[in-house]
Amino acid sequence: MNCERVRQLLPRYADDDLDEDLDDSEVEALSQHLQVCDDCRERLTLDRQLAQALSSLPEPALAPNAPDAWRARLRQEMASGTRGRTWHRATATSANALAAAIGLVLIGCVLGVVVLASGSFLGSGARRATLAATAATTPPAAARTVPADTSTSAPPAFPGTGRPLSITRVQPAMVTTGAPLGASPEKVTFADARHGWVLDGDCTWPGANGCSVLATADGGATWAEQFHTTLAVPEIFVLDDSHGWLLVSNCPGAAGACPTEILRTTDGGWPARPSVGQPGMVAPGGVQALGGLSQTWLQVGSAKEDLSDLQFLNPLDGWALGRACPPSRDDCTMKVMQSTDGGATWNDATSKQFTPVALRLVDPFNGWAVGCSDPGYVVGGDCRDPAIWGTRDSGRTWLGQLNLPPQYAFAAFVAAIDRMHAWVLLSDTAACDENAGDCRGITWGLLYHTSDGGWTWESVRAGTEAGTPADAWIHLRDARSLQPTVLTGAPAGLRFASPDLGWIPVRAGSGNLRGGLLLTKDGGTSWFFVAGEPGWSVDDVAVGGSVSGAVTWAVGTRRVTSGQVPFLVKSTDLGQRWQQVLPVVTPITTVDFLNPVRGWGIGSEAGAGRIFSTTDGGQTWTMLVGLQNAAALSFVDPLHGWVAGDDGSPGGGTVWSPGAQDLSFDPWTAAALGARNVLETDDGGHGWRTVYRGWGQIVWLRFFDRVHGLLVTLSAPDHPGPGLLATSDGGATWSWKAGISGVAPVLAVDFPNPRDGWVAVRTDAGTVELRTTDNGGLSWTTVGDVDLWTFAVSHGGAVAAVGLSFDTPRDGWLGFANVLLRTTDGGRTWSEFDLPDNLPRSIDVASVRAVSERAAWLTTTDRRLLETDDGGATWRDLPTG
Amino acid sequence: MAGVATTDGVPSKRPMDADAAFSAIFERHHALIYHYLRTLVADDAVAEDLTRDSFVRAWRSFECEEPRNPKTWLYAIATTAALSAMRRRRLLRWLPVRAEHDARGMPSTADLEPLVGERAVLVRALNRLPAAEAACLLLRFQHGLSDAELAEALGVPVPTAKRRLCRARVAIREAYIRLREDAFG
Repeated sequence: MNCERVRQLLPRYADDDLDEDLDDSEVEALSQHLQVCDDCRERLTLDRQLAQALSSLPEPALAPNAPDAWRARLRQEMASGTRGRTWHRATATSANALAAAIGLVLIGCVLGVVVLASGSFLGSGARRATLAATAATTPPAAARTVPADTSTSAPPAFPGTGRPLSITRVQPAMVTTGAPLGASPEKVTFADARHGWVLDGDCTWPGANGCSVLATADGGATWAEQFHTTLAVPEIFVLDDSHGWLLVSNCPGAAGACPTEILRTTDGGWPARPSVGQPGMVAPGGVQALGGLSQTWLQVGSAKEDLSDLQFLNPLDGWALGRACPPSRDDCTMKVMQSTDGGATWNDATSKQFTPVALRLVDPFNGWAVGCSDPGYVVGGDCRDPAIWGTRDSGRTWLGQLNLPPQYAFAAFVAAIDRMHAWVLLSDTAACDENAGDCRGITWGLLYHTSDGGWTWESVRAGTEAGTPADAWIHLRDARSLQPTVLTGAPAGLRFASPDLGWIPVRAGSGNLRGGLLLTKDGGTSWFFVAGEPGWSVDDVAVGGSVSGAVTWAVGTRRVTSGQVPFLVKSTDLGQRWQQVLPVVTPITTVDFLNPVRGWGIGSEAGAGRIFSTTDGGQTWTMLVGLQNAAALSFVDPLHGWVAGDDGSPGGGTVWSPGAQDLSFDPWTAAALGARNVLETDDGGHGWRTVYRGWGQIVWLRFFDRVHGLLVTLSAPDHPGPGLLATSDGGATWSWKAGISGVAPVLAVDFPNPRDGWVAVRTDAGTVELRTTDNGGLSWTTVGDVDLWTFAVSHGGAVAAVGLSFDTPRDGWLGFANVLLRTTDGGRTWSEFDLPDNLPRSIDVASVRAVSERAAWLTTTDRRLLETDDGGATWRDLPTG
Repeated sequence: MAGVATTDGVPSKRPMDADAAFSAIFERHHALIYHYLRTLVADDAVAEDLTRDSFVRAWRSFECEEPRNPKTWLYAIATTAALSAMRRRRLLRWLPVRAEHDARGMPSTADLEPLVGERAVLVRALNRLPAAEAACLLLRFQHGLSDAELAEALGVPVPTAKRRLCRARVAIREAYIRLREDAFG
């Protein structure tokens, strides 16, 4: 017995718990090894010491007010729409209603809160404050929508099955805690080039955000929310642009098998066919709920098993795997589940010959499964006798087609495109925890292929790497370097679009391991990493459109400074270039324009400051990936610019380049730093280089040429309050010029040139003053007595932000709340500028940027970007996607 | 509201003092669950949020079915909440896990925080494990769960739980040895 083997067994040896793994002679061999091997003996001691040390880790202190906050949240939860209350009200009505209501309670507990069909849209802040109603066969127009106070009425009969309609109030807390739509895509599927669906939010597991079904009918340009629930929606399957199914499971956090509800749509989930530009839809890239949620995702049936691998071959014939766990949860079994009525009822179609692990049908009759024939096989356990099975008669009989080598804790995927071509991918999951999605990678994979309907299966062997099983499919080449590479993530699926073209999404797992998307163009013989940037992890892939013009869609996560950003990306060139579709990114806080067409902005994506560029005056924006957490920016020509931001590199890693930045630092440390560094670009913002490490909280920065610039920082050593710093060497060194406002907070700053500047500061009295300098900040004088606060309040607004821009020492703009002021005499007099009638009165100016007398942009706190090219006479609303 | 309508022969699904029963469970276990989550995610605020979410989820589940063993049941919910949050959200402890990353000139946290002894090494080793393995170790050693309880809390069969625990112990031992060598030579 060698050291490696011994070391794997030591914890069991320390616990005297080796019986299951070893026979007596092996235990003896282990003991003998320990007597002669100092290293292993030391490890045995260490195992015991570590166990001891783990059991005596200090108890972290609990914040005194935390339990109160939890209690308050629980009380809120208990008070809001509990099902018990519904029952009690119902008991008061009649015996019939009682019976129906008991059914309601039971179904409520199984189904929980399934939000469907709401007739009214309660405004953007309350988009999820909808009532739930599920019905089986009711057409959309007649789908029951229930006003807010009718949860007390006796539930009407459940059409078709006689079961009561489930009506449940959405938990009020869910209304406000939802993440922005499109911020967290988890699954993607496309019926054709235009019609696609995304599961967005906490879909795999139930969570505070709930799960939304987003849909597009225009190839991803616009998305709308069709359906929302606080339950988990682990899978969606669409057959075509009309027929789709959702699996909804109700397991609030508990492990084990969940009962599954099946929801179906027969019109694509759209209450009416949408078209781009229709009211309720948004401009390209945006996400917005329709006026009301879909009324057409309707509950059609349920299964007591935990369904997965859902597929429908036509509107009636469906298949799935069903996991059933007895209460002890120790021996979950997997079943083949079959529906012949569109998902309303599910029958156990499991063969006596094997327990299914993976399943794929290509038509109602033909399909394949990977199964384990061991008696007593437990899902996720060891299998001595796995095999590929095939059926040609709708699963009534299965024929073993290929015996596979014994497996320990393995995952399997089956892909098929017709009754002749199928693929099977097996991989070990020894280092994976499927429940947690936690995987350090696989050590080997096996890929098999048939092109004759399963008469012969052959192992696809593109090559082998040292240390892998002889049959291992693991020889991969990097798409760019063409160097051999090793699959260190774990496959999350297997999908083929033609006999040649196929994909394997790969999860990176934890640690700096490689995930991405594998692509083959030769039926699986050779695989290339596409979408394999460091830090990518791909969970799901979908193909829209014909094979020749395929659009590849992928959902996954991308590692950034602050953690991970889930994404939906698409590619029209088989993964050479990807375009981010979700989450929608928005230039909102700051813009800088060189001229009326060329500009840059700082927007946000999942809360991180991102840099965007535009070459058409803000009509379209491109996200530049090289930087995160940007706070201020300034460009002097199309190539040269500076950003105040966080390069996230407390100890090193000063060079930034697209795609490679995300691995080089520890986000836990970086998150708290704020904008303290100045970074420089000489290629228009694609690559950034740290030129200066400051002290923190740089709020404004402007360069006047390639060497001269100013910045304002809120915290500098030895100087209380905000200060102005200057550079004359392109940002490499900065010298303190002057304090700006004593200790008063600075709200906005601008300098049209190094001498003349303006600041808006908040005074002790709570008003806002405008101050100006004509000597580079050495002395400041208050300009008039502009009391912005009073001014704003008198106009019916509240000041959340102040925008200030001077393009010359005489011409400037000042914006706050719903007020826009303009001066042409250096701030001595201001004229109030009417915002055009087509803007909402509640507009709240966040920043203003003028580049000439005529051209200016302003951003608002509600994420609008407005442009004028006639000195403010007319303003245009620009798309911010 | 007290009492369940059993007069017409309909058996009680669950007692109506569920609020009180659950409150009792909360009072008894919240500190323990926080303790567990805090060690697992190594962040006060995140652990507080997860504790809150776990009890909310627990309550929703409790409405339908009372658990046989509330403590294990809460551990199961908290574990699922933590792992799913760490999988999906911005909590992942993306520390370099292999020496090769250090070799590529990337800064590791070793540059940032001085080690303060064996316990710090242990905590860092724990933080380097996949969260599921760390959870395994904490549940067994810090919270004293038996094999059966561990399996229930992880939602896996007992043999799987034991294998996972064994793997976790090997992993933390090797991580610990590596870190100790880095720290103390």
